Amino acid sequence: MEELRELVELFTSHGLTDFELENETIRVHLRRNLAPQASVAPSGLAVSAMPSNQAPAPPVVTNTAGAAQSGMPQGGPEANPATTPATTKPEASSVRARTEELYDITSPIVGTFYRSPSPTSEPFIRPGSAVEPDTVVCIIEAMKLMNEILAETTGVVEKIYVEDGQPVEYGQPLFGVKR
Amino acid sequence: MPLRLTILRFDSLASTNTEAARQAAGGAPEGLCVVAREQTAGRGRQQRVWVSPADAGLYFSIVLRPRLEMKEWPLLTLMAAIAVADALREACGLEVDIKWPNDIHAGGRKLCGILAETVENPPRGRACIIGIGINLTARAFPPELSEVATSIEKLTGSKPDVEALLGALLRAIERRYARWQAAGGGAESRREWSRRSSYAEGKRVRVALGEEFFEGTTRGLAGDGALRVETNDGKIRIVRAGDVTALRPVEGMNGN
Repeated sequence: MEELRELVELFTSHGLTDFELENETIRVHLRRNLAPQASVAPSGLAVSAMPSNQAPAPPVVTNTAGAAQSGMPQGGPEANPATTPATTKPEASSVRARTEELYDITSPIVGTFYRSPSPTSEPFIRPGSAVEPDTVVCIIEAMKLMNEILAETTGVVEKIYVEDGQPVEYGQPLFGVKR
Repeated sequence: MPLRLTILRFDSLASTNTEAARQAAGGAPEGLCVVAREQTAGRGRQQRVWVSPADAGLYFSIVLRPRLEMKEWPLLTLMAAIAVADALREACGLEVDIKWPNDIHAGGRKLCGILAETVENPPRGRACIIGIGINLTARAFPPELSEVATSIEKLTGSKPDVEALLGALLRAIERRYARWQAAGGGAESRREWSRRSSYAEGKRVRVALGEEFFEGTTRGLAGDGALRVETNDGKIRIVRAGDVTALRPVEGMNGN
């Protein structure tokens, strides 16, 4: 996860819009939606499907490395062939497969999502943060009632589905946690 | 079931809300109150500072554990504002305005702020901490805020009896909380809030939502206490966060 974070930072700081990396155990595809143009993958390349959410400016991270995605390469090239990712899944099933393996932390209330206790302080959690059931992951504000939301599970944060300061609906997924 | 009120009193605390949250985490039942003569790290929303010199304000927090579903809870902050308005009327003879959702204003200036937070401590479940800071004297706020803040002393000409005010506040919270949790309590709270607030209907406001600003006219409350604002192109926007301010200065709210 640490490498992945560095990657995202490099991606952002160099103003890239599209980036792919693949090895035996992981496949990463970063893409930034600068304009609403449909960037279709060249047919010869094995490009991961993008989830069809409308996340704007920050880079969208798609990690399609099936069951082996919990770590960066550790076991070397002799990684179990059964866990190597399928590279040409249709978009819908790829998205479903991805969400199935993550535990979603959802919003118990309609309100505004805040990743940190104040605009100038550090986020409660980031991608790669380890959480426990009583870890505070965010605040949802409604009518100036500030609600601390707990992870309610143990694992590592992989996805943050909502941007800071955005409205969220009742039951909307906020974070994806790899358990 | 009526609230069983217990008051913990402190000469000095970092923050009454922080102490109340700590008590809630330790399993404190609802009705536990924390009062401090001064706060050394009093805070408002998003960690803004709430200046709290000794004996210049009422610094109060209460732990509640509502039976209603959590999605109903945002109305608690409106209920708290109504309770403060009740207490100020009873103990100090003041008529105040409620600025959406829960700031207490008098003469167009802020007299009281409310910071409501919910915390969850498995297996105890979720608790709501309502913090209330009322300016008793002008020492409660720095001079540079004198154009936007006011105090009971400034409004009535005398320093209030803080114990009488606290007593009235506790009775008002008990009464309003019981009504809110009773059948039809949400609708009654919204009606009562609308009766007390000049922001409920037909007020020209400016809404700041993060980077976004828009102007419009207020059109009552949605079911959860959100403010309905009709924009200049006739659309209704539902406001649940951000800052809502009156476009024209509010005047004469003391005399309504």
